[in-house]
Amino acid sequence: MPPQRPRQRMFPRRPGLTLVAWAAPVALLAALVPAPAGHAAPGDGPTLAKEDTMHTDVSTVLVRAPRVTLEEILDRVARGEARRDSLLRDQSFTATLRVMRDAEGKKGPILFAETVSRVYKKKPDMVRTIELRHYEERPEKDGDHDDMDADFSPSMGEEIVNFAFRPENRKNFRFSIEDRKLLGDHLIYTLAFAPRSALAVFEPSGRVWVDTKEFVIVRQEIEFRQSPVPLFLKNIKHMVVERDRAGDFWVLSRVLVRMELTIPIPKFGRAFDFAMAMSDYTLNSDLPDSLFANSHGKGGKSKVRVGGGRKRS
Amino acid sequence: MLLGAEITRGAPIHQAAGRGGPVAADTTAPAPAPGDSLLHDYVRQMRDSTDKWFGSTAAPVDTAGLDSALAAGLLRSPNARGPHGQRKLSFDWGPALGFNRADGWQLGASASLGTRWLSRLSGRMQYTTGTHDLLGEGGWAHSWRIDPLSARLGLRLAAGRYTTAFDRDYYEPILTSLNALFAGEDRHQYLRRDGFIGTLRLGAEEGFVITSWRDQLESSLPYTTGWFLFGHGPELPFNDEATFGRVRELTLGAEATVPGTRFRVNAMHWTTDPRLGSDMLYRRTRLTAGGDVSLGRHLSLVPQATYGLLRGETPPQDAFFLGGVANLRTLKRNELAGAGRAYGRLDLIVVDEIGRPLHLPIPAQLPLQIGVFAGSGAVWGRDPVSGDAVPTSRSWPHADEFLSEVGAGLMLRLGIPSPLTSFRFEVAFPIGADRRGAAYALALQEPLNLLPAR
Repeated sequence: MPPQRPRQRMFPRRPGLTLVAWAAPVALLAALVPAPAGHAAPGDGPTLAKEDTMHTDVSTVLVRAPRVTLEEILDRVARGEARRDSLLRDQSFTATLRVMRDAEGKKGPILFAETVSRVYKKKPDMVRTIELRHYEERPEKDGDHDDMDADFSPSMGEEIVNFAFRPENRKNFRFSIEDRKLLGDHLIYTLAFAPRSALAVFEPSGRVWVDTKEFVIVRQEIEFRQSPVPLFLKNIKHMVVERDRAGDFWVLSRVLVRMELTIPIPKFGRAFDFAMAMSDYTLNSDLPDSLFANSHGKGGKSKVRVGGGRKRS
Repeated sequence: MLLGAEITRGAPIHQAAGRGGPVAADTTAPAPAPGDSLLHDYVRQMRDSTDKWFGSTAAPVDTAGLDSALAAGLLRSPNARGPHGQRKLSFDWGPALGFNRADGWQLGASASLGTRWLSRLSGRMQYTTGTHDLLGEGGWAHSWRIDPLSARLGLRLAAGRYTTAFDRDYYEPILTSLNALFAGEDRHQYLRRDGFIGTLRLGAEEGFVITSWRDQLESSLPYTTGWFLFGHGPELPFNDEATFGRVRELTLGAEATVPGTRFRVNAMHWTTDPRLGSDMLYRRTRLTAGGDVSLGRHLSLVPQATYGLLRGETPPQDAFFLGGVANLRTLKRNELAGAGRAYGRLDLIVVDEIGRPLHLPIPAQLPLQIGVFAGSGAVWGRDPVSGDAVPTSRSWPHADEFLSEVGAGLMLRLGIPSPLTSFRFEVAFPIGADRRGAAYALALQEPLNLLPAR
């Protein structure tokens, strides 16, 4: 690509326009000075200033390589995610599960419960979770903590990140390319996805950022057109899934969700946040099997209960 | 590939955590490789905006004391679950209530016990005020993950005595009980089953296969309860007689998603034979298919159809029923019964929420949808005098046996028990000259109500 040739002059030197050229900033300054109270300025409100004096000429570049199609990108993302999974033999990380109440109250989100665990996983189906700390704003008298309970799946597949791109789910979503961005030698695609079924107004839609160097998802923002459970959950306002780099791998680092209940719960509020953060990853460090003795595959999917319910003896 | 690579997230703290929140500064992340720095900066910018939006929810965890807790945790047995020890079992219990004109009140309780090794044991005990009988059932259930198939295999064994409806295809005990108790408009017929049933189910995302075996004594129930909460004399002041006998029945079934579509096909077959030690001889088959087709972003077309055929003997408790909220709205619930049934329905639904634009006084968060529908169905193999199912050699109804209707409805989507479940209010108009009239229906169901819930 030839170098850009910006124009040297901010204002073209054309006879007879000098007054206009000076008048423009003066008028702009006048517009920025607040009008006296009670006297609305003409055209009250923001003014859009349009720069029309700077131009850049970019010569045509003949591109011989075919543009990567959306379908190909989706295929490669699925393959990239599968490759990522296949290269992982074991992992350990510190997981923090957090529930914040009154998320939109005057004091901001208030910590309701938090559990910090160290999680060890090893293929094919070994998992061990060591609880490091548990905090509850209002602990139960018996010392049990049913309000939030975490069990991790032995899988390292991170379905919460790539659910829409999995081959078995792809037919359920409609994809489109929203943006491309070149960052160094990384081309980042922003892909939007939405449920293909109009009936599934409660299913997630959103956008993902894909690093096409490895075709892995680095970030995901999810939204819901309608609540999946309108009777209890008014809406899911914002949901973000983030990945972070751990050595050669992109790994799940945060899941943040803000939800609003239909009916406010006393001492909990209406809006609440749920956050799951994973940090301090160690990957493929050949964890010994003895670490997992008798714990093969006993973990279910990540399970979080809020508000208690069942009593355990 | 880097072995044993470690990272520490270095997101800055933007806000302190809430009251008492154990939140502290995080350590700094190692510098990325120069070629990746632009990408990392870009990702960090987005992360910072997330931090700002979520406030203290997104603050890093306080790491103080975690190392010593981890050291202590690693010394414990791998089977121990945290400082609170291993959870041994879970216990649930609750009331088990029901009401119908045969049993009267069904008053009792149910309980279940879950253990890691014994799986789930459940039990239910009820006393019936009409028949002065004890009903009860005990069951055991367990499931196993089948990783190569990405599926789950479940086994349930149960034995006991319970009351159920003749309509084996569409019976919802809770709503039916409420209807019987408050309005006396329960139009189901009831029978008693005593014995054993075992079910094995292999289920995955794309479908399932199921097989079950039951050895049960089926018997009639009398009409005992002529009252309901707001009146006397239910709509049907009788309870039809069921064929008495021991039934040893094998069930085979499967459901699958049609590849590349959002359509599902469900097939079920029930067979019982004297050679199995049964008092009855029949082959009962039901095929159902349905799905949705999107017409743009705002309209959804939902076609569905079901076909059923009963060969051999035709005990009334195994007949196919037509009428009511389960299928044809312009007939009363279960008004027609036969040895065969065919029914199809097409819904066109506006999926957008219309309550707010129309300023309707409904809770703002409950999406109100609107739709129109057309349906047509028939039963055959029925005695024209008694109305009971009788054996037939026909596999399809005559054209003049079809009854059709069109209608419109409002759907208030509640999302319970499934996200598609709506409270539906529909008005239906018959097509054709017969004794049917316009009818309205109230139902709590999904758009694809003919397909069994997964």
